[in-house]
Amino acid sequence: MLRVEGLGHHFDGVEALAEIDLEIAEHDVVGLIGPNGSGKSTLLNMITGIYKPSAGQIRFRERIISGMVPHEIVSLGIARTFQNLRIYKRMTVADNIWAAQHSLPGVSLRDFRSGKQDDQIEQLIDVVGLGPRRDELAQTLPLADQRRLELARALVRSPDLLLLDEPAGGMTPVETQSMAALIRDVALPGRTCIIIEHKMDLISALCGRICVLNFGRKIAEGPPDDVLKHPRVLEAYLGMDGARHA
Amino acid sequence: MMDEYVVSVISNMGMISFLALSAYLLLLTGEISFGQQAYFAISAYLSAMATAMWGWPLWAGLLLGAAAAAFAAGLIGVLTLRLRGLYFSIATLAFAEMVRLLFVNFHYQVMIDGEPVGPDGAEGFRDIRWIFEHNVSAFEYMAIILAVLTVVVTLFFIAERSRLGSIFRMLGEDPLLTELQGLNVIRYKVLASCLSGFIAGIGGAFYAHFATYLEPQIFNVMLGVHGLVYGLIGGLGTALGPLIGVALDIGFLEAVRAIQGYRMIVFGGLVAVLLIFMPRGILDEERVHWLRMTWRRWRNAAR
Repeated sequence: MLRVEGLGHHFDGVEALAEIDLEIAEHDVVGLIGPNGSGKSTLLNMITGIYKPSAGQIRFRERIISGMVPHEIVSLGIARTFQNLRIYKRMTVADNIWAAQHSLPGVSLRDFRSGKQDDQIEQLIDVVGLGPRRDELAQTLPLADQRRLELARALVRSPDLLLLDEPAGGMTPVETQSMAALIRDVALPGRTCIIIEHKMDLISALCGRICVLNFGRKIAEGPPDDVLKHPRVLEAYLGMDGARHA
Repeated sequence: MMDEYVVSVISNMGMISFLALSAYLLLLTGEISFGQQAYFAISAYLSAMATAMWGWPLWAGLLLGAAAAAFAAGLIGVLTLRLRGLYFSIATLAFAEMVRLLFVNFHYQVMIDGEPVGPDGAEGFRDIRWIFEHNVSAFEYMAIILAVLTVVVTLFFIAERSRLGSIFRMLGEDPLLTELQGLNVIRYKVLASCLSGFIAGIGGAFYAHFATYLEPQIFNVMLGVHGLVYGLIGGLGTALGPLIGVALDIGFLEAVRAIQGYRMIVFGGLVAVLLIFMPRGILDEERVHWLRMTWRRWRNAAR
């Protein structure tokens, strides 16, 4: 479904990604891990068209999407969340989710907001546990709820490919568990997904495959158990000495 | 009948409200324009030329002026697409000054009844007499202005509840996120520009026929600053915000004669204080949301 071929990107001479190959089949759930600055978010930014590749290409369903502008790319059925949370803070919870529908086919811009939104929105609000807060401004939500809101906003577009950038970032262990359950039960069924996360229990619980980046290059890929024992992965995370003792 | 002075103050408030609403629309989309006076000016000149020189009726002149203003605004919208924040503001200011200087050098007159009529550069454009020739009283003209203003404000309220209105607010909060909701941000930014030009143009056309005399100096940056600040004072949470700003400045400060000579000082101080304590104005999104929720609770309780 998604094929990344020889992808490279540099910011003013600093190499952010190089020679990345990644193939993701329909209904795959792939964890993308790596130390800070290893290029994980850059990869998502390139898939969604925010950055243009300086080498290589990205195909979505055999169509080359690298070079397309973001609104065209997401309209093909891709949705994402952000590491540093992007929501419309001055809008209510319900309006944030409503906003994600504006560009969907068959939606008229002359539609009006009403006290109750269509069933899909109301169901999503309830499923992510924001029912009691549907009319509150998003800026007043605690962080964990803002992350749930972001997830609901991505899901309302019914994407085929879902890109989650640290969905449990900044959450307590309890909140992380409930987020993992939410992703497993609501977000993943019937979908292809890439999840970036530092919390390995969440990654191993949800992902069938892990891809590890370090300094913009892929250093390992495979099932979670194998990859997390891979010497180069241990080295990247723990340093040379740590890897030797592990 | 109303006092002549009161009629002229209310007419002024009505006309400047269009300018304030046009700047407000851009503020919603996250752009601070110091150049809305240019669209006001373009429409003022063009509509006056249409009625005074070419014999068009007022409504046709107004539509022509507003359409030309929308076109100019759309053009500027395209040219400034890549500019953000301060750079956008400076570009709009520079464009507005260009337009003003263009009118300083713009001479186009025709002879009507042995008198030259039309824009005469810095000398201005005299004898825009449509409302006298058609026996429209000052009171009636005020009523026309207020009627059109009511229509425009109503459209704002309708748009506010629609997906389109929501897109404008989304642009103001986070353009990149909005692009990633599948929306062509460029298209909606240019659309907002055109609409804002059109709305400013309505005010400009009314102004030309109210004043009967135009000169480039009227359309200087202070006019644009006022138009911009009304929304910032009144609040960006509702289209009533800019109208409240207008009412505070013209309705209150100008009407209270005791502070007549100090109006600009009081006004400037008020703006500074408000922007520190209420950066998005009196009726900002939070207060409007609170009012909406309170109203809903109250209505549900009454049922």
